[in-house]
Amino acid sequence: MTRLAAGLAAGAALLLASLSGARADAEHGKIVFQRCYACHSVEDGENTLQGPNLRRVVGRRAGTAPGFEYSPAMIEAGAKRRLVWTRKALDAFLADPQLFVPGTSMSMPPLRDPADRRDVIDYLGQAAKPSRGGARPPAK
Amino acid sequence: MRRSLLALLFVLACGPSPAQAEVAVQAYALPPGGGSPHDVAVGSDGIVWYTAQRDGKLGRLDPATGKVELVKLGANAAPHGVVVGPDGAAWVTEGGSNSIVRVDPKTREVKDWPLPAARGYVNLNTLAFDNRGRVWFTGQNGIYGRLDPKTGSMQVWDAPRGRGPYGIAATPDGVIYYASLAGNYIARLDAESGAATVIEPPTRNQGARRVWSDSKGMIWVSEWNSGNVSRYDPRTNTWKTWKLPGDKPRAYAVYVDDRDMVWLSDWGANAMVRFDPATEKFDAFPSDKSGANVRQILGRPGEVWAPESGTDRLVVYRLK
Repeated sequence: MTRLAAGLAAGAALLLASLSGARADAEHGKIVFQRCYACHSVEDGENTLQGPNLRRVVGRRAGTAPGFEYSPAMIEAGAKRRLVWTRKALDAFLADPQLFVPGTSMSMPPLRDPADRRDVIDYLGQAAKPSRGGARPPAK
Repeated sequence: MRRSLLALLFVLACGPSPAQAEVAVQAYALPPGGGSPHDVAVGSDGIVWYTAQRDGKLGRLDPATGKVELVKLGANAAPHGVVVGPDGAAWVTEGGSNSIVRVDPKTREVKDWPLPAARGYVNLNTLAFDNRGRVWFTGQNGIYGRLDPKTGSMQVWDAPRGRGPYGIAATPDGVIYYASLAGNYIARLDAESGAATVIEPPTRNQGARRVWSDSKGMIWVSEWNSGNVSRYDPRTNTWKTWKLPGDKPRAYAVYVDDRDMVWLSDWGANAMVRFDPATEKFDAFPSDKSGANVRQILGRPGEVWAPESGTDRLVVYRLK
């Protein structure tokens, strides 16, 4: 019984640590996202910036956010390379946008730190989930 | 092939171009590790500085020899804008370290003035000197600021409408204006208080990206979303707007040369475009390579420089 309680306590501690780590990563990712913030939004309905809305970018085919006017290079990456924004693809793109999609109009310099890339992708993944009070209504 | 045809058609649509005979074009290829030029600045000595944003360096081109020297700005540097200051040095908006940076033209010493840490990452964009030796700058995440290099004093203000502050320039009288790309306005800054007065261009959601002043202090604006060039006259508080030629112009950069001719980079046509305010006519200078992606233009009397970020070249248009 004592061993079981100790095991449960250890498991709970691990789980809490893991959840806290995930939160910390996404929190850090939110800070890293400041490098993207000028041109991208993760708010539903905010579609007038220079870059596409990234709220549901993870898993989306490249060049297909509704209503956004992409560069020919990005359209081709989605249509011909059949590029889908998996975590792995996002990591490669953020590491060197011009190398991964030559001709993209995104001018952001390479995000060199792998931890920064991981955390900002975490943040993008979390941004797609509805908030506790439900998804925000689209902005008018 | 289709792109070349479109470029040719674009030239033809602009009519015969005696203007092209008045201008000599020369391209300088940049070395590996110092390409993707974002912004460019040329000093009175003819030396050209450029930001190699992707490589975190400042480049220095001597056009007489074609020699390029690269100055490292730091491990995570990502420089965006560059101008030559009144001291002859290269001044840089260094996004990687969130700092204003000075590179000494003789010693290449790099000195930096970080923004207040409490401001966080502001995505520094562009800078301009007023007539009192103070440098004003924009941050695309929603700020503008002022640094007095003599005292090290720096002020940073929240921009109207948040994110968007992009190009910034001074009139001959030293009045500072900036453009807000996401905010769709230009603003005049008070020299003392720093307060921004928003000035609305007539076209809604135009995407004012960069500004430049002509010799009379009139403000020229490159409009990214609308594909227009527009002119604001501060004396009469009036605007005039012209659409660039072609089906889908995208005006990224604007610069007014010493003859008050207005130069723009048009991503839609992959061309540099010169506008004559007297005749209201455009002349096009298409790049000989696809995807030139010129993000900024600067010059000195007789020369207009355009960094082709997509072709790793600096291109000069010499006026005969």
